[in-house]
Amino acid sequence: MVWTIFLRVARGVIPPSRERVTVRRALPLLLFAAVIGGACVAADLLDVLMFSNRGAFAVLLALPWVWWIHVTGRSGLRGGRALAALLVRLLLLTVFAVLLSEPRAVRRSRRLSTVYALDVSDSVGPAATDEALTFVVKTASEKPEGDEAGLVVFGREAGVELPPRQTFPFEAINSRIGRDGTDLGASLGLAAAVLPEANDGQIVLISDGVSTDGDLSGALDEISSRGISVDVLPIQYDFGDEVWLEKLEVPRVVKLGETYEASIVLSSLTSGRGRLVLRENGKLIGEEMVDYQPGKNRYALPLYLREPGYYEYVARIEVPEARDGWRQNNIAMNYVYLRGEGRVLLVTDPEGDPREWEAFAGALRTSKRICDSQVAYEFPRDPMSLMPYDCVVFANVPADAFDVVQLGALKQAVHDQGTGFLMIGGRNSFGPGGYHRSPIEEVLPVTMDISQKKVLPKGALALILHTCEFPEGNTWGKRVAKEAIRVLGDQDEVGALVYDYQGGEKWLFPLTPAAEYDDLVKLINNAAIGDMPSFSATMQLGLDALKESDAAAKHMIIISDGDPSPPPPAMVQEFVASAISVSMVAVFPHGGQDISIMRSIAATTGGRYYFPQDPSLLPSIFIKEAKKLKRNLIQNKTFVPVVEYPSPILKGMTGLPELKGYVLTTPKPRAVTILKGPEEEEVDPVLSVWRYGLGKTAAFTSDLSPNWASSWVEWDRYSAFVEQLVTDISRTELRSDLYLSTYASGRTGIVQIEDHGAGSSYVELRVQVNGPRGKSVSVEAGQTGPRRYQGVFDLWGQGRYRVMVAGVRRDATERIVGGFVVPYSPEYLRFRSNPIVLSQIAERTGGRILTGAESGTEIFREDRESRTTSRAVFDWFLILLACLIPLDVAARRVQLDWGAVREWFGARRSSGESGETFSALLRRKDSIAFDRGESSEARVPPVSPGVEKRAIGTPGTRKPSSTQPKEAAPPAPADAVSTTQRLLARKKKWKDDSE
Amino acid sequence: MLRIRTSSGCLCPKSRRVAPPPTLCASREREGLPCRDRLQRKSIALGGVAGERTSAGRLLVALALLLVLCGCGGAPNQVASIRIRHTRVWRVLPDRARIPAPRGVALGLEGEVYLLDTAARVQVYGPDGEVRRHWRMPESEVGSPEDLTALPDGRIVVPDTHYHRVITFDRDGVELARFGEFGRELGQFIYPVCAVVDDEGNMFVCEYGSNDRIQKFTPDGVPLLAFGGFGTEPGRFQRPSGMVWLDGRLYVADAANNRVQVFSGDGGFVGVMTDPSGLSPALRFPYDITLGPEGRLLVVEWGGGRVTELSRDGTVLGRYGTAGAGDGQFSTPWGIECDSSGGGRIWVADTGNRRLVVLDREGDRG
Repeated sequence: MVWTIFLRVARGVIPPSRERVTVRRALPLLLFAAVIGGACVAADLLDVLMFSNRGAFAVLLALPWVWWIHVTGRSGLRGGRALAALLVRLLLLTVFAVLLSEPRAVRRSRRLSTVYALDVSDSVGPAATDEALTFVVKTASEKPEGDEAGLVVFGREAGVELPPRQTFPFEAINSRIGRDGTDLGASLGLAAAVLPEANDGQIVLISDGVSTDGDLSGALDEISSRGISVDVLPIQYDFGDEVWLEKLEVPRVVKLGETYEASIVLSSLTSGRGRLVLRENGKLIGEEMVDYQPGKNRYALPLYLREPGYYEYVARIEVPEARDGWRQNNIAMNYVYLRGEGRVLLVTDPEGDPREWEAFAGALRTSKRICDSQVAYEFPRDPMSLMPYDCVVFANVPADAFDVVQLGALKQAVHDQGTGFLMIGGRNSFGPGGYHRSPIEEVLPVTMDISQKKVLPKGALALILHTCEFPEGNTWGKRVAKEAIRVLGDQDEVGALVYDYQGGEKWLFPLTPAAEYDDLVKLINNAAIGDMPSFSATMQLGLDALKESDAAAKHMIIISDGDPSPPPPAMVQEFVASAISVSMVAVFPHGGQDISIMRSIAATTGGRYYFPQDPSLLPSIFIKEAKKLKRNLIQNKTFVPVVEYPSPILKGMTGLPELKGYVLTTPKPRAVTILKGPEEEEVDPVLSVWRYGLGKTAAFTSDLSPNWASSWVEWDRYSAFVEQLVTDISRTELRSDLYLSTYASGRTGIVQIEDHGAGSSYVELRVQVNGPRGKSVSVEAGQTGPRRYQGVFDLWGQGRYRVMVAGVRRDATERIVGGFVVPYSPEYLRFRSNPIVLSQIAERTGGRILTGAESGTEIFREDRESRTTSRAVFDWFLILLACLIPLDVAARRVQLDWGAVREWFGARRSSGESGETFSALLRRKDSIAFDRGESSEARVPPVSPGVEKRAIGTPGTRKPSSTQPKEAAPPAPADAVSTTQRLLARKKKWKDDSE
Repeated sequence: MLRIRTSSGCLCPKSRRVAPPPTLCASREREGLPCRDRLQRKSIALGGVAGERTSAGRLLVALALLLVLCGCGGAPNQVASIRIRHTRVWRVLPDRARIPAPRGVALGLEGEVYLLDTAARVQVYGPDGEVRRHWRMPESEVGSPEDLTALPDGRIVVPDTHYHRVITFDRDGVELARFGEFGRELGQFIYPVCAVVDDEGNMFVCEYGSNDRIQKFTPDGVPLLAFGGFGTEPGRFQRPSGMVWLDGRLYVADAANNRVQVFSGDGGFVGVMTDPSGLSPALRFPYDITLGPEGRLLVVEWGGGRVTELSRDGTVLGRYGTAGAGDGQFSTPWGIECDSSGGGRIWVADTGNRRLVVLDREGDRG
């Protein structure tokens, strides 16, 4: 039974042939297998195609079965058409097998990609860098046409200047990298990463071999495993004469009116003579000619402190240029802080009106507080310099009057040193002053974002960025664009227009809410800013978008060298008609004479024109421009502030006078709003306070001058209010028994703490160090003796290191702050290059040691390896398969009347008829019927002449025919009658016989 | 289009409903002739012309089939490529630690090629691409010039763009003459950028920077006339940056207006180049124009990164290149020159890619 079923199934799958199968009939299969198999093998061997999954070719074992089905005649096709159908089916199966084998197209390349890795760290120096760049450019310009050259520069970090390409359009180094360190490993890793896999690759490393950071060995392992060779070009130097200052020691504990000594440690490789100079806060306080010997030399210069404060000392050794290698390391710095009575620092706008702060300063003096006044440009850049001040007050001074370092210093002073901070309102404060998203906004108890307010005045800003043709020009362009967006409120819209060399004039991003600041920054960072020939197209794009915007204030800022063609006058007038102002910033305009066009556009549209001589002025210009949109945050309303929360600041204050204006802000969740504005439904803070880190800060959003607060200035409680406000937020000095000493020793920082407390209570020390580049570390302080503790940490470059120590006892926490300055990069403590490291790199990677005299053809060597790469071509075969399936069906089911085709194109139809058309089949049937005395025509019902003629595919309606009634039966077919008669006759005969 | 028996053949069962009496049809087929009535109905369905059996419908269908097969159906405006046999890159000499960007190129006597770059250097190449000599502009702190012209007598004219003057050198870079100063009056310049001479030796100088005009000078440098002006209207310019003199006509590449304008020798406006049907050549910042072989014009497009060949009636004959840094690509090309008498070799100052690309056309003897 089972066997029978099996045989039946087997017969179904492999049916027996109806006719004899000869070897000749297997020829198509054999030929096909030979051709296709040969093609696949050849493609694989010749690296045209490679197959990841060769097992899939097992599918081809079904080819004989397909052939067998064909030869057994199941397809019902004959002749050439049958052969075509067979071949298409075989091809279909083969393509399916290839598809399953995951084919990949192979590309072979004999190109050589070279990445120059150039050390631009401080130890290399600008002269050697220029020389190395000359070598790079010369050899890259001499390279064979098809080869690729790229450039990576590195110091403490590495950056790609030019990715490997056939062209080498090098102009100047644009990467902003730290130069006070060298990370050979990172540079080689980056250079290897940008080398394309498709080509043979090599790296040309140009360095002094001095590596201060990173993992060189790991990078070399990775490079070697990829078969990338590293040729090295050593930058050699060896300073026989070198003198440097190691340390400037000043006393930690000083008293007023006593004389102390500053101790200077000088090191030298040889003996010599030089002038030793000591400056205190920039003023020369001592100088001495000194004779120094090889090794360490110690000199002492006198110090005399006349009043409390912060004193920064800078010592310098001046020697003849020929007797010194690095001049950068001839300096040492330190500071002394002599604690005195707490002061208040009043910071004012250099362009402001003195009447804005005179009343406030007078009130402070009345309250016997020492008040120092500084314009914003003089504000310290170091938090330690703010140590003498218990409180800092910004009196209507805008953010663009400071740089980021100054604002950061204040933030650190408040957070870490407990310095108090007060911002007094006005037209240049808070949001209108450009403090949105600044470090100061973090410090204040209010935020400049007013998106939660019911009244939502909105501004729209379009930036047009033209390429800036000065070193790092585009980097500056991007930076200022980010600065401008930063100032905007979340609800404001901003868009940026650029000229892209590939895409022409386009929106880098269209008008977008500035709340998406983080995303916009990424777009700006990745932008390619081109040199646009004309302002017209970009200005038109900006104009159209600004006109469509529903913003109340609309503005456009263009940064350019003035080179592009100006917009047509009609367009400028359209800006005027649409109340859109255009400000132009001319950056290094060619000749300086073509600025008239930019100036006239700005003047016509009500914008401003800038011609900065220094790119460092650009950020403040852009902040100032963006601030134009923020004027709507100023509320010119007369009101009496409402007490929202009782506070010691208002002690004794009754009957508050009216104010005539304030700046819209939003209180932060943890802030205490003491006075609020006139709005009943919303809390518009007039006076808010909160604690930020160790410090306390306050925001007074109206002013304290005759401008908005004339009634307050004349108020008899004005001085008391000012005194109580400043007292509330000022730093309170807490007695500490901890003494801190910090200094740098080589590449490490030392923190020493002495506990002078009377009791024997245990103190738990927490040491935090903030250093350059915003990095901070926690340091473990271990006990080194009775009540003596010490912590050590690695320095991370040139800059100021601030050390904050918190001593936690059972009953209280004591805090003490100290720090030191590393005045020069540790790179300048390298007096000779390290060619051995470079030799090892070349040896491990199979590279060469270059001399610098090589030509381009020697660098781009001829003995290179061919590289093969592959990419998936699955899609191609999938498309082929998709095309073959309908072809396979068509080959079996569709018969073309080639005669008709030929006739269509004008050829005469051949007299012979196709043997396989349907008509031929019918004719054959007719002929058989004719032989039997029948005709197919007899079976075809005649078509009524009344049938409507219609185009093919259109529905037709059949009309009843009068000549051929519908009910009229067709004449009985002749064959049907005769067969019936025959059957009836047989039946009758059978009955008769049986009877 | 192709008649497939199973769907439209007259003898299939479905077609019997609309077919003429089978006797007629079958008898014709038995004679080896097609069924005329059926064919006629087919042509009505396709062409919509009743009672007319012409080959127009078939030709239409055949043409459509041909277009589909050739893949041309979707791009009616596609222009043929300029056929380039061979491309080469001539090296731009480094200038200390940078490779300056080439901007202007001119063909001088004895096959010498003059290249102006952003280092304000004029490099002189021999016919084989070797740099024979070079010289620098007298001043370049403010900016470097953008184009240069080789006169028939071998002198080299450089409009010193950022110094608002025109300087003439001999073949070795010795300064022969200079004229012009900053200003808007006749004989003064703001950013002169290109100079050409007519058949009498008069010189046309075009300038941008809000003047945006062309001035004509005698061979002695005496200003004769000025025409143009800033604007988008016909006859006015936005950054005219390249010119060529041909058969009494001045062809001007009006870069920011994306067009080529034609003027007579006395500054009369002749027209904007369009093809006979009025179609614009679709140029993107044409920065330079030069005479190609057989009186054709070659335009280099700064924005398009390509070379476009125009007939003198404005028809686009061919294009070559795309924007980019690879083979057959240009990045913001500024200048073009062609050896119109020597087989059509083309030099393109590929500014953004810092290279001088030499294109040998098919049929070029070079």
